[in-house]
Amino acid sequence: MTENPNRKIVQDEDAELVRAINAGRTEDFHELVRRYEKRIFNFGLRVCGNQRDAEDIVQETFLNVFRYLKDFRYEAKFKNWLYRIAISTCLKAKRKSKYAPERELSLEEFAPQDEAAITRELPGWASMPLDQLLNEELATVIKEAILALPEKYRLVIVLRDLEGFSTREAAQILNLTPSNTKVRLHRARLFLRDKLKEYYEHG
Amino acid sequence: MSMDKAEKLQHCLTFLESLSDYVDEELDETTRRAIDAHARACLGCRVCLKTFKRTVALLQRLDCKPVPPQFSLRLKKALRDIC
Repeated sequence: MTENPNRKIVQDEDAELVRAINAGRTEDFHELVRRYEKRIFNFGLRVCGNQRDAEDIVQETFLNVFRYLKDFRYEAKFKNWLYRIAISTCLKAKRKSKYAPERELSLEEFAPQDEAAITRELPGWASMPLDQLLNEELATVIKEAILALPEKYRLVIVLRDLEGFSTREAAQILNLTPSNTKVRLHRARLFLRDKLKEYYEHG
Repeated sequence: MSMDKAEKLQHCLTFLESLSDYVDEELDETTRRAIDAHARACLGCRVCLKTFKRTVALLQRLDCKPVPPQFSLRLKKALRDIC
């Protein structure tokens, strides 16, 4: 395929490795796996909730990456393209697993409490040092709350707040507008805040 | 609902809508100051802001699990067969 001289070149730490693999050094594919195996595994865990599905997603993702790597165009970062494939794999896995029901989250359902109902200005969990607060039990509560999110919100919040993609990158990966991505992220964060409030208020 | 209450609710919903942009530092200075001013005046929203910031901070600190070694070996083998 002839390269288009006008196409945008993206700074990408994986580009050189991908070019080497596409040029015939297929043994270098193991380095790509080494770089991203843990991230995709944890992405799978966060989106699907169980180890078995996460392992399937990792294996299927890398098999598909290998299969389609020659079609990668270097117009976005490899990492973003990799996650697109991982998401596509997750969505196929959805047919086999139980997922939170799809529904719209509205802003009104998260409206701040009436002042009369507030007993403390600053709940303990909002003021304690993070290191003291974040233990195994709380991590489990957060992960379960993420899984309770409808899928379209779950994908955005995992990409943005857990995987560390920017709004623009997450939008590109999910084929959404940045504006739509921000709205979904915000609703998801509000939902999780409510779940944490529930946990700390009711145990 | 009275007009005052309805107006207050609208202010609070506008505040609520801006929280992600506030936390992600994507607001212009004027809007940011308006958010701060509303938080000073409204206890419900002040608590909401603090717990919202904390929620985002917790999410961004969640740890990663290691890949199970047995799975990693199986994956390497599966890929060796095709690479």
